[in-house]
Amino acid sequence: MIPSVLNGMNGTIDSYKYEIKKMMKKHHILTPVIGLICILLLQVGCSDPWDEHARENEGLTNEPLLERLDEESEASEFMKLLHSSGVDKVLDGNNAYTVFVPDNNSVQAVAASLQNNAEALERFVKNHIAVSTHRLNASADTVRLTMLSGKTLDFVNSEIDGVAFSKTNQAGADGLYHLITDALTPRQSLWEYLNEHADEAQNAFILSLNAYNLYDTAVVEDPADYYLNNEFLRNVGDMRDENQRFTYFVLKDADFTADAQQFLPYINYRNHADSSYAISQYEIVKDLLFKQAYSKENLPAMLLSASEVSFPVDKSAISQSVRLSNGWVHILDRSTLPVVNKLVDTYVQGEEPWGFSASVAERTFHRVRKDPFGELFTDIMIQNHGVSSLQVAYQTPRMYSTTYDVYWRALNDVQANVFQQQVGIFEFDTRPSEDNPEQEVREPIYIFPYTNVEQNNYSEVYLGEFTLADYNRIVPVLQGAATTANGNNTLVLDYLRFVPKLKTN
Amino acid sequence: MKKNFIYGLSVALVCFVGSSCSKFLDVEPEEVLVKEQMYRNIYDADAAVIGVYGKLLSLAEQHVLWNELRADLLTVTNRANPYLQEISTNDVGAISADNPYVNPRKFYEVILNCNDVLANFQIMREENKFTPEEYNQRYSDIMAVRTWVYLQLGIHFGRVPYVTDPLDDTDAVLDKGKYPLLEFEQLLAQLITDMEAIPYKLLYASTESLMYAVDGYDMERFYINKQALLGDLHLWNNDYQRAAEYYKLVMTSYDNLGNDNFRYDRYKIKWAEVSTNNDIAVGYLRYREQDVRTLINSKTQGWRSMFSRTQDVLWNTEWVWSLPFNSNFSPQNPFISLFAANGGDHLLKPSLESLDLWNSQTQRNGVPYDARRDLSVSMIGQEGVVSKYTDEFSDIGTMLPIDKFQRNGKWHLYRAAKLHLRFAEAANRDGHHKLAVGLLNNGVGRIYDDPNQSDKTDIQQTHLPFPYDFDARNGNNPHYRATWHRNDGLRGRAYVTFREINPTDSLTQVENYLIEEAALEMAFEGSRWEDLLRIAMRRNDPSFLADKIYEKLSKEGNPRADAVRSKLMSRENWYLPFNWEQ
Repeated sequence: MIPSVLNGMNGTIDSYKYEIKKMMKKHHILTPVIGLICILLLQVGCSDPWDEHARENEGLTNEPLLERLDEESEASEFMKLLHSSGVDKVLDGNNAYTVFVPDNNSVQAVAASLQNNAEALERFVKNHIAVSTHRLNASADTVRLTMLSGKTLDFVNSEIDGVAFSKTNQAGADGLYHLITDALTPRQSLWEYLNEHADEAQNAFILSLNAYNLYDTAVVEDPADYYLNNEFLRNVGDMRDENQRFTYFVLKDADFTADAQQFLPYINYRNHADSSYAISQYEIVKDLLFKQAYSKENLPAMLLSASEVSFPVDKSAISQSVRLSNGWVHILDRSTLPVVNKLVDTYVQGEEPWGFSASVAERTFHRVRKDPFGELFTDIMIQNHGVSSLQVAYQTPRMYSTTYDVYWRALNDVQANVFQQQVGIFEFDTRPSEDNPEQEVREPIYIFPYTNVEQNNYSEVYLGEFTLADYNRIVPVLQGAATTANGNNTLVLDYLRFVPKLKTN
Repeated sequence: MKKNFIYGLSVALVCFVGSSCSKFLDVEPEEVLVKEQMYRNIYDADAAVIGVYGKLLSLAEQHVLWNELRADLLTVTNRANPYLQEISTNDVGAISADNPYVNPRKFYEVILNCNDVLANFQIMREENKFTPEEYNQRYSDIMAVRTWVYLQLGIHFGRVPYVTDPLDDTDAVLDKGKYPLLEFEQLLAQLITDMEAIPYKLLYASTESLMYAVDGYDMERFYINKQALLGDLHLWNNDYQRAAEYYKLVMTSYDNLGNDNFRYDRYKIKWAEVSTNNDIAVGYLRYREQDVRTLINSKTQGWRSMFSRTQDVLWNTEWVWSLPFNSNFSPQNPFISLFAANGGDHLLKPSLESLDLWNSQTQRNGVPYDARRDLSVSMIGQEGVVSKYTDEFSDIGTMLPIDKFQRNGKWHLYRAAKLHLRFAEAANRDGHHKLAVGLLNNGVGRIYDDPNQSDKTDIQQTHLPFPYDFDARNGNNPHYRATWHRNDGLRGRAYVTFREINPTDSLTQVENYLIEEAALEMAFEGSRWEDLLRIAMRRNDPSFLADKIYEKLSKEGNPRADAVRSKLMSRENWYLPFNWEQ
């Protein structure tokens, strides 16, 4: 909107002419001096970065990487393996590579084991080569290099996979090489380890999930990745993945079986013994894999599994530890995880309903409140809806077959009166109604009585206990008072908490 | 021969070096006017006025950086360059000499431009090239712009040269023999003298050619509001009665224009329209106020809409001064680069301190934070994005540019909320705490009300002389709909709970609340540093300023927090270094 002609119209031209004139006058005396200064400045300004640049590329020649490696006396043993494995053809100059060359002594130490196994030899050699150029990394920031073997190695603190360098940043026209003090023998991944130790009951169980589904509602099989039908790989951790890091504990066969038997009372799946036992085994193994790599020395006192179970670490129970390409395996002499730790609370959030018995969207409020500890929480309130016995249904994940203590937190802070609401627990699976077989209904498991929602009560309220016979999902239902009177049929819920109880016998 | 060669080389080098000077590239268009042709008639004069405002727009970026990034509500992201970080840390001794953001040169270019226009207007007047009325309005307008720019320089540099001559060479302002540096207090006195002497203090008359809409923009709020500026000057000078008088004139400036809604709504901080949400108040869907999902978060309704809505009736009830940036015209909108996360560089973000301020409020539906937080800031992960400047550019939900080549926006300079808060500040200092609290909390009518009395004849009003005369009567029997009956108070309009006032120390407490309300209401709009500095000076208490900057820095883990706090305890460290380079 501003006519640009008018911008700064006061005298720009005049002052400009004036400056030119000033320059012209001083021209004769000053220009040679200025010229010389400029030349000096240019020289000073340019020489520094160039020197730095040259220093950085010390050892740089235009020879191909392979020729440079041939000239390196400490690389001669590795070069033999490189040529005999045929991997040298990869280094054809069309792409840049970094080769981590073990010195002759360390290659001789492993060469014998590779002699008659072409596949192992190729994997061994490829485990020393990475695409692109990677200069010595002396910082504490871990760089993960994917080697041609598919394994990822940590490149940190002037070490690669814990091996030190003896000569670094030797550049050829198409790549770099470093001399290192030990061979980088490719390690097994956790998945490869598992397959090799399939005779152990725990590992065998995980592998059996490749072909066996725990639940008859399993997802449609994915033809592109057959193994992802394995519920363990899908839900707990994909142990094949070289880019992830794991810690995996293995129980002795007897301990694994005993643990699964001990947990079996919590898994009554459709009164079917075999299915229940399989699920019980799954419930044991799901808390034995953790998504971070810990050597025995670095293990913390407590680990938290993906399903929020706290796993106490007893280093004295670890009889053997195996380092893998993507983590650690620790063999346990005895089981260290008490059943009670596995019984974690289930929360149902009020503001995440599954369904309503009537359409009350206009009267449904998602509220934000601050509790006395200063924590914000979101709840649901349904008010002035005019529906008698309004029901709000929720759903849970599968819950163990045991007895539960049930609590709610329900904040009645905007009304001047106390009102009542109740919670009912219903089966998740529908069945034909007794009155009308055409109609599918959910049978109640337990109905708690109507309970007062007192004013401004931020504490949990204990509702009572109920027993779940089946290992299954449940449908908790929040029900309002049997009245259409506004203010009395209000529903409010921050959360329901289900606390599973230990079975004593 | 040899000598010639060296000369030749030198000349070539000089040309080479010279070419890096940016002025060399400023090619003037061939149609450019020479000075003698420029001030011939009223249209030339209008063009000169618009030209000054065009130059003024180039100060927008520095204005917001100085008044917000130096203060406690705005901070840098890790994408910001070190110069911006220096301003955010606000250790004036450690600011680089070449920091382009603290260079006052552009401000003096505007001032000299004003001086030139003012001098030529006087010549035109002497030569009878326009009428006294035309001259008075334009001369006063440009004088007000110059005064505003000087006030900014005074606030941020403390001691500045005061130049009223039209100079061709900007560098000449540095001639200390001719233009001695004025201390802030001297400058303020000079600016008050200048402004009180102007012959015309109202908006341009609606019949003036400068009021014709240009490129779809209504020009009424394009020009500086002289009375609001006078109010500010007197407030800085602690002359509360005068300040309140000028603010009140602005608040009532539409009372006798247009229809009743002009009187009831314009600059009155009007109540929320709870049934339609067609307002600029914080609100929820009616009868669903308990549901946080129904917060009115929109570019056409509610509080947020004031920053991006078109210049419609509601816009006119709030904005006192607002300058537009448009993609089709120079200069380009600087705010998108500073603030936008998509389509911009996201260099600045809300400080943790500003979020904590909002989080310590409670809405009247019990929600434990101020909804203005979510209407001023969007979140990308854990990092806030200021949305006040980018609502015309980005989508509210996705935060993506609607059209990345349409970089329109506004420089938010003055609005009713600022007017009310500053009036209340003056009134409070002038002994009228109750009135100040009414304007802050829930409106003048309610604080002077007696709910048990249905006859409102003698209540709901201040019974005070000008400028503290407010009549907010809203009664049915007998029927009253007084000028201020729709006033809802700032916290009323913002849907937050009301401040409780401790009667024993109401003066300081009310003033603290007013300054905090300005932070909640006008965060990032370019007045925070002014507010902190004004109060620190008035109370002779540098800790008022220093503690707030300390809170910002310490909450973001800046290791210099303690050092900056102790530096800000002495006045010389409040001011930016006067570094003048190209």
